Amino acid sequence: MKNRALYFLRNKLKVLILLGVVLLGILGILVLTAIFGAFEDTKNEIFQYSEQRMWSLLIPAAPKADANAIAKRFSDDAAYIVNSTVFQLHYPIFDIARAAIILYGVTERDLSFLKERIKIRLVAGKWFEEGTNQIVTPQAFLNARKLSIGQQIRIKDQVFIISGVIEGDYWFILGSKGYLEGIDNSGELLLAFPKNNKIFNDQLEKVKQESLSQLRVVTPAQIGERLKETNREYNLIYIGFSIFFAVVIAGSISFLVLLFYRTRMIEFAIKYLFGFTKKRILADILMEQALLLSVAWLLSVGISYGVLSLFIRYFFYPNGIILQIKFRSILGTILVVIFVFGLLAVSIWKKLYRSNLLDTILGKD
Amino acid sequence: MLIQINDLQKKYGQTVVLADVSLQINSGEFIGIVGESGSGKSTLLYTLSGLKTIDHGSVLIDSKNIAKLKQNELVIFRHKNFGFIFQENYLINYLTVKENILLPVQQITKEVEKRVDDLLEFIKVASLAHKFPYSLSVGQKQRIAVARALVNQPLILFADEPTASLDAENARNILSLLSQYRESFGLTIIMVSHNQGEWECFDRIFKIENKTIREIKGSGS
Repeated sequence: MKNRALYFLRNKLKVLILLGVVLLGILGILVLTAIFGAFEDTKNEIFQYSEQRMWSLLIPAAPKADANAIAKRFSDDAAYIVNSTVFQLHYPIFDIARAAIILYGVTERDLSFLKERIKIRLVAGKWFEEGTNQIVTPQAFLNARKLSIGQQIRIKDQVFIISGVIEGDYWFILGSKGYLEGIDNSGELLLAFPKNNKIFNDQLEKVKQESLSQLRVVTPAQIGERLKETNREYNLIYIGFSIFFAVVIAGSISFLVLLFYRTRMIEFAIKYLFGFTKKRILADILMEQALLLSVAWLLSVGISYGVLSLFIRYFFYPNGIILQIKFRSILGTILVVIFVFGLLAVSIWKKLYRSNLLDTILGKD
Repeated sequence: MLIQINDLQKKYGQTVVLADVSLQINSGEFIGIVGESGSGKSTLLYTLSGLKTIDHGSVLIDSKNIAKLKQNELVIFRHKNFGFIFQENYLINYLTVKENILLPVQQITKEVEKRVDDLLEFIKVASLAHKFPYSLSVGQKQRIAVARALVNQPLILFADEPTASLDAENARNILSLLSQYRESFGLTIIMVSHNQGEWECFDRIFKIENKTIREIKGSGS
């Protein structure tokens, strides 16, 4: 068996080429990792602001508004966040109008995020202190309630002290029934809507109404379902990518091998001439090809992950879902590699057993 | 090892290339097979070594008729007994010199590696062990092909015009190597040659004429 183990080492040039391909692959993955390292930060950011900090309830656009339920959710288990709005926070030019934001219990760090992302700024008073019952509101809300800074306000079952007035360049901060026509905003929630901007200048009012009509409550169960569904989609895309790259890489390796096709045939013929059985030669080649295809498969799995992360980061709708590749998705790609291996095995078998290998050296009769 | 060919006949399609060929070769002999181009010299060599089938007769090597062996048995027999050199060296360019020599080896052991080192010394290319064939001269390549043919310590070496593509000096070197090796290890060599200058090396020479064989130098000539 020592000889078989050395078989690959003896094919130095091929091994060097293979190593080159592997190194390029690793380099590619490293570059992708470096470029998309921020993706992980994004994940932390999204989940931190949603599940852990419990500071806001981001309500995705959907038919059938139910403000009461929103209010209930707000006070009960506002911990859960969903999808599209998160994306809109990060990419405000995308469909910004189709979401509402309820602000509550923002920490200093969260506040920085808000200031940076949705350009909310303080215009009077001071920002609330972390861990207190202070809140900031838009001036319109105070006007409607005839309130001022320092006064108390009851929202749902909680009493808050107004510490400051806020406004944003891109968001209206709306807070009372008067602004929520047709919707029973008994919870008197602070709702943020996109403010007049270049994109929605002409259709703002229409969009606003549409947004309101599409408010809904998303339950944790629904969120879970949505997460699962999206993850399923991503896994399918992942399989697609993996198959694509597996075929491309395996094809490239096969091409490299084909570059030496005649020489390789001579190599096999020499072995056969000197007493290697065809079975032994076939076993050696298949072992070698299995190794090459394994490398191709590993590269395809890695590169697919990198590319899919890239796509999710910049092109897909990042529903707050990080790429969670299921093990069976990875296993699925093995079938492709096995298929390629099968084709290769049949092809080599035909070459070895259905033709006279020695013709390569001796010429045909 | 005694080689005995009885009434051998070989056809390509309907064309008879060799007919009524009978000869006997003793162990340790250096045999030359000569003849005009296309006379069937290489065909005879290939049939003797079992690389090509025969249509009639027998090829007995130590009383074993290799014409009757099954494919796998023949492969194993070749492995144990035969070495080959051709006009073309058939070295693999992506393998080093040493790796090329090791190509016919099925089980690489320290003993084999030592043997390869000795062979490299013997053919005077030890310093080239880790070079690739494309960087070598034609003469060096052919010497490596000789080492590859000898690495399994064959009892019979079949050489099909191994000097045909070499200049006179390199051709002499190759023949000298083969002769030395034969003297040292008792190897039987059967070599096809078209160069009359080489004939003095052979113990016996068989010439192929009119599809059959005739001894023109040796004990029976």
